Amino acid sequence: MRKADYVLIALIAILLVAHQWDWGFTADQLFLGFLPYELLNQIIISLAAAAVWWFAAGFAWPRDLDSSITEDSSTASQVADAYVTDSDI
Amino acid sequence: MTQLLVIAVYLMLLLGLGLFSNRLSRGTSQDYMLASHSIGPVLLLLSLFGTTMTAFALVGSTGEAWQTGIGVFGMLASASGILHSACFFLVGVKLWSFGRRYGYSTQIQFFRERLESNGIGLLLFPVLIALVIPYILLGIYGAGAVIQGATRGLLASGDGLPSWAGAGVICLVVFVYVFFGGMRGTAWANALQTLVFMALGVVTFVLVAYNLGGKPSLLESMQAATARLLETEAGRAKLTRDTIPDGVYAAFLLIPLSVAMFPHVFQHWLTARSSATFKLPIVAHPIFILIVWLPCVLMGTWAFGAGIQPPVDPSSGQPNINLVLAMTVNRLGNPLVEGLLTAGILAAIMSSLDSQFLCIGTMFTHDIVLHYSRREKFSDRRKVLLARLFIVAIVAVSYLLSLFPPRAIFSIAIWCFSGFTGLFPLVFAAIYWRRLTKAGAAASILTAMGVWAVLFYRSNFGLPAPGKPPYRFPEEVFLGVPPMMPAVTITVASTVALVLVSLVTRPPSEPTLAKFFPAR
Repeated sequence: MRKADYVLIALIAILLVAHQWDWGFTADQLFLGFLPYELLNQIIISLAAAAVWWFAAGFAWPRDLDSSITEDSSTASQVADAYVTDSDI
Repeated sequence: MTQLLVIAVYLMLLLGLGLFSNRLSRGTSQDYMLASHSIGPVLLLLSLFGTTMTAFALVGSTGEAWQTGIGVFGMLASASGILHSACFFLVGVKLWSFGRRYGYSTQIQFFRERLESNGIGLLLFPVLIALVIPYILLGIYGAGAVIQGATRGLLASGDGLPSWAGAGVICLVVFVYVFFGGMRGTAWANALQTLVFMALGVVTFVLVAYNLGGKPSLLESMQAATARLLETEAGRAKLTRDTIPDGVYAAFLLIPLSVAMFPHVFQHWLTARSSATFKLPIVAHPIFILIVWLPCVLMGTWAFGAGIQPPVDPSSGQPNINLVLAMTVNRLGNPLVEGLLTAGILAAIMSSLDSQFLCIGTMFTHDIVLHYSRREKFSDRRKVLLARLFIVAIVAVSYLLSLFPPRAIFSIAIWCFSGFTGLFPLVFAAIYWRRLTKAGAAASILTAMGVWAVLFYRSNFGLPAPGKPPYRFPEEVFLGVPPMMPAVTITVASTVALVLVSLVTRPPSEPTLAKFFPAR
């Protein structure tokens, strides 16, 4: 695994903990006088999730995904259709 | 009449789009089922989002917020924002890569090769079909009910368009653009529908905020709507997440994992032009969920403060919270807005239905007919014809079944998500665990479905007695384990079966492992 993969795992873990964390916000705590803090907290988490996935797309993207895709896909598809093994029909 | 016109115009637009996309078709089976792997990032984002979001994103979210308060946003929406993207990143991109490399069109083709087992396909096929069908029926049934509600007063008797007629029209429209447009038509239609329900959701929110708050500016109206909730204890509770037990809040993290095993989502993944195409959907998905869910959650919560009270559903003895959004919008007294919102709800329903019809047609074509026939019998043109015939049959059967919905159709559909979640360990292990065996996979599927069936039976087929909470397992605290959502039990059981059986059975051959776990 690369350094970026470890960072990504840590960021996702933080995100999940933050998502579950109950800050104990009360009904009177309102942002701009209408948005409950608990909801604001979850909005920030949604935006943070987008940021974490932006990091994943930029720095922890899996390697070699496209490299060996040279085969004609219709031929490969026919092979997949015909796949039968020895033991278990 | 205005509402009916708006709906009719919208449906005509969809039909036009489906027929137009048919003109872009290359005529091959790959194009019909997978859009020739040519879909770019924006279209993939919109089509994937439309496929994963159902009418629940608009109607259900508003009703749940009315009942439970703003905590549902964290429990259902932001959790999905994190975990849907995780599924796309960890499962979708890898399956796309295998699919492109080895020519898969369905999940079962992947599992057959990965596990060197024909039997795993025979086991998984009926399970996937059985889990998707209730989801389809709910969509069709829901579409009929939505149109009936929106056209109330249209007929001389004061009734709306009968549910069977509305459902039939929706099936016909979806059928036409899927039949003629295939995956390309479906992707374009989904993109349009995603934009429609996102835009209409936001517009409706602004109008409802003004209506419920009754102040000259939007901010003041929103403040007034929230202030009304502060006047009562019940209202104050809706502004916190105290209404949701921590265990339930945590358990809901599992439900979004179901996306990784949706066969229709798999098919959309395979349409991507390259692996990089996934980057935009992965990053933007949480933001899109935010845009759709936040207005609905606020509207539902404010509706409670405004005293909107949906009628009691006789079957459950509980308020029918699915009516909250319609009742809130009806207060506007604006048929155009009501018509537009109806079109938005139908868009959310149809953007899932189309992909499900297409994917079941593709599965029957590839996993049954082509797999068990001599492949030289089928030219590419005949494969397309076969898929189309299956789509005709599936739409017809689904429509007929939707005319006689079981009483528990809503709860069955919700339970199906738990079934898909129970299959998540299978797909994750198939990608990341070399030691997974076909016996382990079979044990995992059988355990997931067995536990699902037992718990569903124990839950009175998903219908709790009036006034009782939803079913939990264990039913009482057992050896310190508290009652939990069925999805937790199903997923834990299927994971344990998968690991234990895999460890004591023979792993796949080295060539197969080298194929799916190439050395770096």
